[in-house]
Amino acid sequence: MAAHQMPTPAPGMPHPSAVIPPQYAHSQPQPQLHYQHLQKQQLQTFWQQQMQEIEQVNEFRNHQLPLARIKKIMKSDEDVKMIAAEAPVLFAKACEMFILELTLRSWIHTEENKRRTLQRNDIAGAITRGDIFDFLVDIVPRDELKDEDLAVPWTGVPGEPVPYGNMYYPPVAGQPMHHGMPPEMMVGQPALAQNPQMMYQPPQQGNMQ
Amino acid sequence: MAGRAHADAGSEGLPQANVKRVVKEKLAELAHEHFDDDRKEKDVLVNKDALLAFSESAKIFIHFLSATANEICRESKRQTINADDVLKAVEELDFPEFCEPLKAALAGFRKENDAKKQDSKRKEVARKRKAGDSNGTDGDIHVNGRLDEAVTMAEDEGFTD
Repeated sequence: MAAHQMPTPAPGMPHPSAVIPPQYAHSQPQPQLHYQHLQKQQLQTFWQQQMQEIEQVNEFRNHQLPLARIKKIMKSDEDVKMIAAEAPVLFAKACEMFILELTLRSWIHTEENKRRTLQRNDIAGAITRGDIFDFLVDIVPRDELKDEDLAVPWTGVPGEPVPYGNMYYPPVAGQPMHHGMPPEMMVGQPALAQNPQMMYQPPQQGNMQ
Repeated sequence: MAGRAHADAGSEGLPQANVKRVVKEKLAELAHEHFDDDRKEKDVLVNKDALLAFSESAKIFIHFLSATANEICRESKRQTINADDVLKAVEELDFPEFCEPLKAALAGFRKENDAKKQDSKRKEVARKRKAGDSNGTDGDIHVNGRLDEAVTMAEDEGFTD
């Protein structure tokens, strides 16, 4: 710590001698040094608290998608007039989750076809499965689907090799998958649950981490 | 490409970089969770057209959700779409699993907002004190400071017309 002379205390700051605890008063040769130390301590504590606060809110401030752009998209609809400040925040989060969900379902399609590149037709495939993405049917229309998609869905025969490990993701008929749950739990009610030939592994409850 | 012709050309979409980041992070997570071989750390690539499809889909989702939230808002005879309208819309569109994370995001935003308001109040008090200490007309400083603050807060509140 630099042992330079402490200038006159700034307005509002306690006078150095007022800060020194009684037990040090007689043995402290340089009151200015001690005062500096205390000030440093106070500043450290202050900044620690600030960082904690920032970290706490950062989780929510850390939007992946820009709020301004989302608001713009919302307002491009003429019917939408006034939007409370909270709304774009929710839209950003919902949109992010939507993209995650679509990514997951598209990825399943990519993996089923043993590819390492996610293609547009994977997204088309994800959209046609289940009902919740029906509103996207015009965006990535069926004609985008390639031959691999028009093949008969795999019904499976015991003993036949299964794509990627032992998990097969059967088409989810209108059952939204639960975002945020471990992958093993992502498999919803299979459309062909009654089919005994289906090599379907039920979710492993014990595998939850 | 036939697909792109169907996309809504009326508004600009989400920035590609952001969308790409969300998609790639998810893919990395999926690879990491599902594979124990070399695929675990290997990148799943996303082709350019697919990325565009993700962006377009996200944009349509926003439109769809807005329209639904707007309907719900109108039905309650209100003019401003609020958080509740959005939450109800999400359920109506069959994404009930989004609700809990959304509520958490909302709580976080409200907390952050309150912290901001506390902070700006503190600053205003400090500003007033400073203005009070200086010589000369502090009346002007006061009014100007206040006005600036009011405008900023209105922008922050996001009340748009």
